Amino acid sequence: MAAKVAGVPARPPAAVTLSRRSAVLGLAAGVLLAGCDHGDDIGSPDSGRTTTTPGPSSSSPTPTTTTTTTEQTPDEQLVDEVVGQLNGAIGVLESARRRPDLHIVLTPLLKAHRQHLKALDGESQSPSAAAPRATLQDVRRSEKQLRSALVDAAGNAGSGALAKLLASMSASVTQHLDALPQAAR
Amino acid sequence: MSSELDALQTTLAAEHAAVYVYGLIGSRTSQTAEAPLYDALRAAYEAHRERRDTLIGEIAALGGTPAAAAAAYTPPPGLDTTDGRYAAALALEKGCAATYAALVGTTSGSRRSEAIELLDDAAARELSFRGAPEAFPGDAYPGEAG
Repeated sequence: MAAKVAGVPARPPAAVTLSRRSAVLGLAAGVLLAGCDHGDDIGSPDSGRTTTTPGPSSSSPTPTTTTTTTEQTPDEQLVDEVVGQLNGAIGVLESARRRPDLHIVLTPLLKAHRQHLKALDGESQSPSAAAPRATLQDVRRSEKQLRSALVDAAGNAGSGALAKLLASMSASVTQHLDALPQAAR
Repeated sequence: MSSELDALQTTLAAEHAAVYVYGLIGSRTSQTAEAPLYDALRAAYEAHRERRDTLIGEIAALGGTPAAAAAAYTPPPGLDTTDGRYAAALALEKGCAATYAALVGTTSGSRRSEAIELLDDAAARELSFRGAPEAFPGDAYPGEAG
C-alpha cells in the first residue's frame, strides 16, 4: 500500500527557458539559457538583404556590392509570423485600453502578450497614435485569430520546445478570453 | 517512437492520479452546499477518466503495455476545507497541464494536435478551480511567472 504520488501528477523534469534563439534552433529540453543575451542573431526580417558599401577608396567610382543571403529556417519564419500576429493583437489591446472601462480589464492580457513577445525575442511595435479605440468585441475577435494562429504554429513547429511554448501561449489566450467579462463575449 | 510512447505513459500516469484524486476530492465535497465546486470536480473527473481510457487504447495500439494505476496515492493536504479542496484541484489540474505541455513537445502530427487541445482544456479548467490566467500555462516558460 505504498503511497506513490503525492496527489498531483509528476511534472516533467526539465525546466526549459527558451529564448528565441533556443526556440527556433530547437535546442533540447533541459538547456537553460536564462540570462543569455537576447541578441537577434538568427535572421532578422531583412535577411537576404543586399548591402552596398564604398569601395576601397572613397574616390572609387564603382561601389562594391555584397549580397548577404541568410536563409531562415522554417521555425524562424514561423516565429517571425507569430511575432507579427502578437504585435497585431497588442495593437488592438492598446487601442481598446484607451477606454477607461477597459483599461484595467485588459491589462493582464496585455502583460501576458508582452511576456510572449519576450519569450520569442520579438520586438514590439509602437501602435499608431491615431488608431481608433477598439471595442471589447474587437479584442475578442483579435485574440481568437491569434489563438488560431498559435495553435497552427504549434502544430507546425519543427522544434518540440518551440511547439510547447506556442501551445502554452495559445492556452494562455484561452484563459484570458474566458476571464473577460461575460457580457462582452 | 519510444520517446512518444514514454510521453504517453507519463501522461497516462498523470491521468490515473487525476482520476483518483478528483474522485477523492469529490467524495469530500457537498453536492448542494458546494455546487459549483462539485460540478467542476465532476466534469474534471469525467474528462480525465475518458482520457485515461483513450490513452490506454493508444498505448496498446503502439505495442506498449499501458501503465497501471498505483495501488494508492497520497491525498493532497487541506481537503477538510472548501478552500483546500479548490487549491488541491487547481494544483492537480496545473500538474496535468504541465504533463500535456510536455506531451506537445515530444509528439508530432495529429497526436501533437490532441496534446495541444488537452493543454488548452486544462488551462481553461484551472479557472473553474479559482485559477487565474497565466502567461504560460503548463510551465512551458518557467522563466516568467504567470
